Amino acid sequence: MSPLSPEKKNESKPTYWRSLDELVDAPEFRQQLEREFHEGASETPDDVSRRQFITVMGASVALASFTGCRRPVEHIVPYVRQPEEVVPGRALNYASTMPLGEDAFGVLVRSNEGRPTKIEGNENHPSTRAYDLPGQNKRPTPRGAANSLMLASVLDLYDPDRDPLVEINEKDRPAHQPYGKEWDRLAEVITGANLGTGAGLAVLSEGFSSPTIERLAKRFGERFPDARWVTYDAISNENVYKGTEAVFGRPLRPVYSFDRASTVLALDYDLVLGESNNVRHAADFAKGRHVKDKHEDEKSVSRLYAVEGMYTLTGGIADHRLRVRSSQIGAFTATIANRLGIKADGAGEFDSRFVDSVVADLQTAAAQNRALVVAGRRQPAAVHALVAAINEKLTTADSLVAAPRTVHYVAVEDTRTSSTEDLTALVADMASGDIKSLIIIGGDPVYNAPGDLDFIGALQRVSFSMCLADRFNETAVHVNHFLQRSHYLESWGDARAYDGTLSLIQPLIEPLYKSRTTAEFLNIVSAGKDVSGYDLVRQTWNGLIGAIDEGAWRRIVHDGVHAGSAYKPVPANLVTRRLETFLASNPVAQPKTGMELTVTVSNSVYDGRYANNGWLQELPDPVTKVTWDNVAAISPATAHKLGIKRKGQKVRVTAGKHSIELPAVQLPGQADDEVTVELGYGQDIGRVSQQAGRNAYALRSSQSDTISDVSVTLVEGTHLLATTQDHQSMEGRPLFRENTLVGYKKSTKNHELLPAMHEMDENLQLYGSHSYASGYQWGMAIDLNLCNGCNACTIACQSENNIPVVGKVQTEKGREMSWIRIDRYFKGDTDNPQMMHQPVPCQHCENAPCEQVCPVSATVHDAQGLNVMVYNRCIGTRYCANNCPYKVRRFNFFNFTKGKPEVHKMVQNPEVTVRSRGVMEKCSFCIQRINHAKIDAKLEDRRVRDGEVVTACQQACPVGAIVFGDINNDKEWNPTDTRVMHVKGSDRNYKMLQELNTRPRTTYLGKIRNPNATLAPAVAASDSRSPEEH
Amino acid sequence: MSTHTETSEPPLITGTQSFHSVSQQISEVTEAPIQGTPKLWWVLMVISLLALANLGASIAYLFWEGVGIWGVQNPVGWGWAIVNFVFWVGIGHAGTLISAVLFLLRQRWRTSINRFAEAMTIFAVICAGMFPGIHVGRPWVAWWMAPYPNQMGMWPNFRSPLLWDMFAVGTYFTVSLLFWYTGMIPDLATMRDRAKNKIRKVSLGVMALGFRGSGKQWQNYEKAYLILAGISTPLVLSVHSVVSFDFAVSLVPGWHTTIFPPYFVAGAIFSGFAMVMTLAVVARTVYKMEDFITMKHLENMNKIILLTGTMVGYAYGCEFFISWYSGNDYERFAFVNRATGDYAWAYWTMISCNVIFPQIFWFRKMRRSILVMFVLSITVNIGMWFERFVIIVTTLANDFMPSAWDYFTPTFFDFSILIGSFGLFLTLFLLFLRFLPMVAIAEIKGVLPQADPHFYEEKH
Repeated sequence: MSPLSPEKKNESKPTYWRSLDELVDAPEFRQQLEREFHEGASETPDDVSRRQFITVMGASVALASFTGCRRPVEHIVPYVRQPEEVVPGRALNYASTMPLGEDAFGVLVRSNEGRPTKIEGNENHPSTRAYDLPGQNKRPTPRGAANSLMLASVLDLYDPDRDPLVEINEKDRPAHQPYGKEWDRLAEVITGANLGTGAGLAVLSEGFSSPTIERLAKRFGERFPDARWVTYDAISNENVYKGTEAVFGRPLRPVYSFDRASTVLALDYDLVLGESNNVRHAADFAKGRHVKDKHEDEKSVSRLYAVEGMYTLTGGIADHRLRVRSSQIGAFTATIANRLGIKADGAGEFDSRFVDSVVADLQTAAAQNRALVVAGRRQPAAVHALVAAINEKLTTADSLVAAPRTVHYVAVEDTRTSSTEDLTALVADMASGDIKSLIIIGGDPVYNAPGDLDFIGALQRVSFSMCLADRFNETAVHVNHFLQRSHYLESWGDARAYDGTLSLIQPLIEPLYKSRTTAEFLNIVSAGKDVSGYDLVRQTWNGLIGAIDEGAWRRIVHDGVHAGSAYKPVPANLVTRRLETFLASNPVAQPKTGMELTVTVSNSVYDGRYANNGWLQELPDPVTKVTWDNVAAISPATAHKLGIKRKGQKVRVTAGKHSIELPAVQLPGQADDEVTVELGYGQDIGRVSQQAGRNAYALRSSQSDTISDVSVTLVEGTHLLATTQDHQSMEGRPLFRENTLVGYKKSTKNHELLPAMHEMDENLQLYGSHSYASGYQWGMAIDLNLCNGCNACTIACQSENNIPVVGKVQTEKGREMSWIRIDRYFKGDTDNPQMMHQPVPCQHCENAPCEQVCPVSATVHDAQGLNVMVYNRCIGTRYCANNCPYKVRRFNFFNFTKGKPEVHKMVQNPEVTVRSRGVMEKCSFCIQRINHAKIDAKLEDRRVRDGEVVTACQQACPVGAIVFGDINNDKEWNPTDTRVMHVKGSDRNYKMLQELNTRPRTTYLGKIRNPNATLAPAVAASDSRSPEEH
Repeated sequence: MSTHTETSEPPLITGTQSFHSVSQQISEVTEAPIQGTPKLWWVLMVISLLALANLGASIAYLFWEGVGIWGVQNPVGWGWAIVNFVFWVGIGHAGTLISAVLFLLRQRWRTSINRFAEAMTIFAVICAGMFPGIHVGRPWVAWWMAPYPNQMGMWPNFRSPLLWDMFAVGTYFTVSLLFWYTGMIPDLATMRDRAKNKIRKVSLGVMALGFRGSGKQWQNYEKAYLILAGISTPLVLSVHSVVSFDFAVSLVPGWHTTIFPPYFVAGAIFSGFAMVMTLAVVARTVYKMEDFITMKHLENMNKIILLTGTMVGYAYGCEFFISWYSGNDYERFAFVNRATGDYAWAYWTMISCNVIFPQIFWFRKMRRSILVMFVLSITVNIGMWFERFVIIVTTLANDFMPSAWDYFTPTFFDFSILIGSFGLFLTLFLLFLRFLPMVAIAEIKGVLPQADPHFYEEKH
């Protein structure tokens, strides 16, 4: 502004003036009037004018867009009308249910903009309620847990083989099939088939437990009264029901309460994987197993005895494990029964000290109704009958009350259970021509019927065949009509949980391809009408729970379960005479002859229905650590006898007429002269499943899962085996630390508690340390005492963090990408060693060796103590991975997402970067979840609550072994300890490789075993050495 | 000191060479027309170019697909690429040692071999420098390692030994190149003066930087050469020390050891001398340079190979002792595992080639046998390659976490890139032999008997 000066005044002075400048008519003002913008607004500081800038920018944009010419233009379509509750960028969670045979698991599905991307357990569902370590004066919030099958099932939804346009070899495609169009003319086809009243018609269904399907199955029976309904599942509880029927007079389902049991005897029973209701069982067992501190009452910690032929995870967490061939489990059961006063023939000779201890502990526990004996479902009915008798013997409680019994019985409803006898009869009738029409619902009988039944041969004699399957599978090849079934995430449906609780299946997405649910299919077949699944379910539920108002219905849909609908316990009156008669005709003891074969459910792909799932194929078997294959597991002694020296050397296993060649794997702890082969591999159809393993169903007998007198011979050649862990011993290093309960209680010093190497002065270091005193400081504790090695965390992480599947060849090269791996170690003699599992994610060292060596600072520390990876900055020197003592860093050796089917993009979590080739990656402590919680907290002007951030691994864990949270111990910041601080406060807490002064944020709580003193010192303190030796 | 012994010392240059014949014999190699190039040169050149083409193709495929085409994996994040890098950097050292350190120590016998030893250094460092660039996962952004000002204020991590490495090797290359070029100026001037055609005249004229041989120019030249020799000398020690920090500064058992810098330097000189030997024998045979590269030169180099080989052997023993003495279980395991584990074959190859075989040089007859020294020089380089393999691969394969242990298996591309790097090296070297004075003409003249005006009568 110019000073007001009289000279500047002139006649044309305005009457009204805007500013003193105008009044005095300053040159600046005149200039300003002429200018388009104010001074400084249209010039850039460095003398580039706005116009110049626009010119240059325009040219740059034009040039830059040339580079984009090669890229396909992809259109994004915004919502025309915003759906209610959908906020772009915010995921929504819906409760649903995953049916699996007779089981049903409650799931909570995350939906990102309408795409289901992640499965969690539903905390409202009885089968998926997790156990969590209590905090200080605080109960943890209820949490749903999951197993690996549930977590991986979301990938099955996006299975590219479900795409009707998928390329199928001409030879595999039935001549007439317009793939996927069958649904339009299904009613016509049924009419055209002239099924009449169903004479000569059979339905071969998989097992299910669903009121709606059961209702429609009954309707089907009314429509076709002469039709036969056969149920077959490769893996089922058939023998359990037969056993309970033998002793109780009717088939009853045992429901176990592992949390109440103080002594558990597991007979070839894997409570962690492979048996029914395993999530709940693992959680319950953990609850009874939890060691709070040194003052823990010895009696409150349960003791587990495992008797088994192959090493299972249950054997790994057991306090004592007896190695017994699968065929001899019956003899062992008879031995225990005899000692408890139950008459049973066929007792055998077993380690008497072991038997004495088991009997003594069971009897002690029985005094308080806290003993439990469980037998695996592949064991014959006689064993289950005897086990039921033993459990009743050990119980004094009223049989009508669930608590305080460790096992109560329920009569199942709305359920059809597999019957191998029915299948055998059906195959015979198909072969003889009595059955002319066959409708197959679910399952894959061509693939998984026992090898001694010629199912394909019989099927070829059937003139009308149709199958409803999850994807184009081996059965689909051999039938006249293939119909695709909807995935449960696209379906309306219902199911009953193992304890009978009514659960609802709600769809997260419209069916991706043309498909229908089982219920819709049955409705079309029997009523000829295409009614939506929702209506079918509502009709069923109106009948089930009466007419309820819309609000109550919505409540059920919201929760995923109808609370309080579990089966009521039924009287289980043991009839001893009936048992004796049954055992007389079904001897519990089997002869012990020659080499025996046991076929078993796969720890990764179940019975094969998940075999086309890359996540599960690449998930290492928790015991053998083999991926992408099933193997012939044999004991080292037997391997020596057979002359097997190398890993993956091939053997031919011959049972009866059938034989397959498999790679042999020496498994310490396997019973001698027993070969165990996993089912579920070696499918001929499926872009993933056909790459993996051999079909062991061919060897399976319709009589028993244990086949005696098989021959195992060495054949030429070696099979490429992709194992994720080649070294089984810990080399005496204190990585996994453990103690016995007694030793732990007695210990006074740290190194007695969990022996360690030299502890290092943590103040000694080259570079100054960061300050971790303020704000959130994230940390994790992993309780090895609770962890059972079930692999759920690995799959949960894979799903949450978009971890690619790299394939068998890359896995064999050691390039698997899992951010959290589970290390498995053996300890003790190779015949019957102990097995330990240790999950290892990034340790988030405060003094991280990886950070210091990165030349471009692509891995750095943030203020919250997280060791973060900056993918954009990473140039891929791999120096960080070399310098990481925990070896948790994973490198993208190739662009592993390149060439994946387009539909796979739908399963990616939009909140996590999909990494390209050449960058390092690793566990981020689920930083996207941390940031979500922080944003939420900021919007509500509060702090992140303890337990608000739950990492994916933690969320999946059934046993609550992983605890995560803020560990800042500044009293002003955290006046009371968070749960993770409380857990880390335990004297079992230790840092792995602490002597390196890396100061990991992830710490471990040592394992405490609870061996029987009379059997000790079967469990020594640890195989790590005490510090005195150094 | 008696002058008698001085005069009776065998001359450095044999035959009847005059100042002119020296210029003639060395320059004519570069002046020969295409037809005049020895057949053997063509044969070697074709082989080298094939290997070089293979390198180009392999690198193109590498950039297209990613480093997964190699055998690298978890936990062995560094494979042959880094083995080759350390190997080639090591090779370079002898050149600098011969030209700079021996120059400062007035070891005048070096004059016959220093030129191509320096050339070898440069070409070896080019080969070495290639590897860190191509071994990274995203080679197109490898330049992020360089500290350059940018709008994000993003600097590289100065704590990372890889960054030190980049500076060390970069400095080394620059100084070596300058030293080599400066030393070549009088010879380029000689060749310019002899040049017949225009192109040669102009190009050599530009390269000779106007050197006319005036007294003042000679004085400046000698000063510059001396200063550069002074600058190069510490680099002999520093470069491989810094390379060894890539390992020593990490915490991996088997890497994390203070003996690495001297041990690496000794190994580098060892392998470098072996490589000079290989090349000297070849150059001497192809171009009949027996008068300049005499048996005395070769024998002296063999003595150095024996010395450094024994030093390396001492370092191997010392490592073992210290790993035991440290009481650190991880260290102990790492070393016992090297000698007895899955990679014992590599370890014992290394010990045999580097420590056991060179002991035959205690015998004069062996030191003077062309065949023995040629075979042994190659053996030593195989051994030194395995030394880096043992250090890098076996260490990473078995470190702290037994659960992560795995076995490294090289792939076709590991081999093809190693062979390709030899192609690059030999191509450059053969071009050097053909187009540049392979022996320092001016310096040779200085050690001819007639260069001494006193004819060795008196020296003070």
